[in-house]
Amino acid sequence: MGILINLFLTFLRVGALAFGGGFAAIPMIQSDVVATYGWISSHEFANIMAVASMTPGPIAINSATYVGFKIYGILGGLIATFGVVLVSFILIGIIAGIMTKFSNNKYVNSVLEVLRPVIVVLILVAAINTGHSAFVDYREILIFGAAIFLLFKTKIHPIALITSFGLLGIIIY
Amino acid sequence: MACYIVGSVDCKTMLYMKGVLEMSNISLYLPKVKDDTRKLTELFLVFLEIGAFTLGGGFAMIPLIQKELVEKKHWVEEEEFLDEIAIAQSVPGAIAVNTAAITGHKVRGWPGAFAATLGVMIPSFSIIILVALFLNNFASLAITQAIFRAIRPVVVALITYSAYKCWNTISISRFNITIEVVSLLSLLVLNAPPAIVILVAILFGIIRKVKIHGNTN
Repeated sequence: MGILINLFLTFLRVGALAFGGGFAAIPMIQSDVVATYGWISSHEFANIMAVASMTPGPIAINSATYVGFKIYGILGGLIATFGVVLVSFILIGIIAGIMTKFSNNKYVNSVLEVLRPVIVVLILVAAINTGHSAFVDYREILIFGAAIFLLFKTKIHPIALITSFGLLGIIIY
Repeated sequence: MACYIVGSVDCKTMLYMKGVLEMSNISLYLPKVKDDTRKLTELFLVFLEIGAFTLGGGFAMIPLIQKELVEKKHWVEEEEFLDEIAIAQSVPGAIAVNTAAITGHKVRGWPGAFAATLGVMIPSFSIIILVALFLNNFASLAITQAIFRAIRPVVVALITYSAYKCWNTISISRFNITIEVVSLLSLLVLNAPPAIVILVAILFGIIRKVKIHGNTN
């Protein structure tokens, strides 16, 4: 029981303090589950992170589920996952409510006016950062070019794009 | 038409059963409840699908939500969507979860936020449990590595396209371009954490109005 409470509190804290999504959460999870509690070896943690970033879904959720499962089975997975989303779920709900109520407030509007261009840049920077590790040789550049072409020139659905290139990957690599 | 094939007796029975079904269908008497449940179910299913195909972190989810909720279902407007991402980024936690929760909340309040969040979490959770149970060497398998290697540039393309679309929704003004250049430089050159850039932007947004207010009075 004690371990479940600690597991919950650890991921609650990660969810409450990880600004900037999953990649900000990874070092926090590592310091707690590997260094502080010693629940998982650092070698195993590296494997968990590899799986978490290669399976569908948010990395923070994937790693919480996996770490929780390793420590206390499916119940552990549930508790850790629940912990990692709880704070952001509540915060988002409250903020969304406030935003709807104060949608005509000049301060809220002013903040949003400044935030919109910032978010555009943040998304662009996310693309650049993902690009750092995505390009190994010319084949990735070709795939990137083909994907960009399809996105801009056709109305292809992102899921169709991901699925077809995933299958293509089995053939070319 | 089908009645003649089945035969007249069966036809009557079928019509009778149809009538009974329609009468017993509570949702017919409560169209609002039906509509509500349908919207919640739709929200849940859309985010279940998005959750299953979000590869490469929360940002990869943005183009999927854009396609489904802004372009196909028109539940969220383009500019509204940008504001939602802004909020999702400003709050701690997984960006995918935050975006799901805020979109769900916008469409259908707290129950909507719950349906969307649950939907986006279920694929992750089940896939991870399956991998942990049966495929411990998942990350080092040749096939997953091949798929992942091919998908990563696609994810980069998707996020780039999303950035372009979001950029398209805001106007090209001196104000916007200045902010874009300043935030790009602070993120790429100064390596400022995104949370700090957002915080500064929020403070700037407030101070700007306080100053204008002071001048006009």
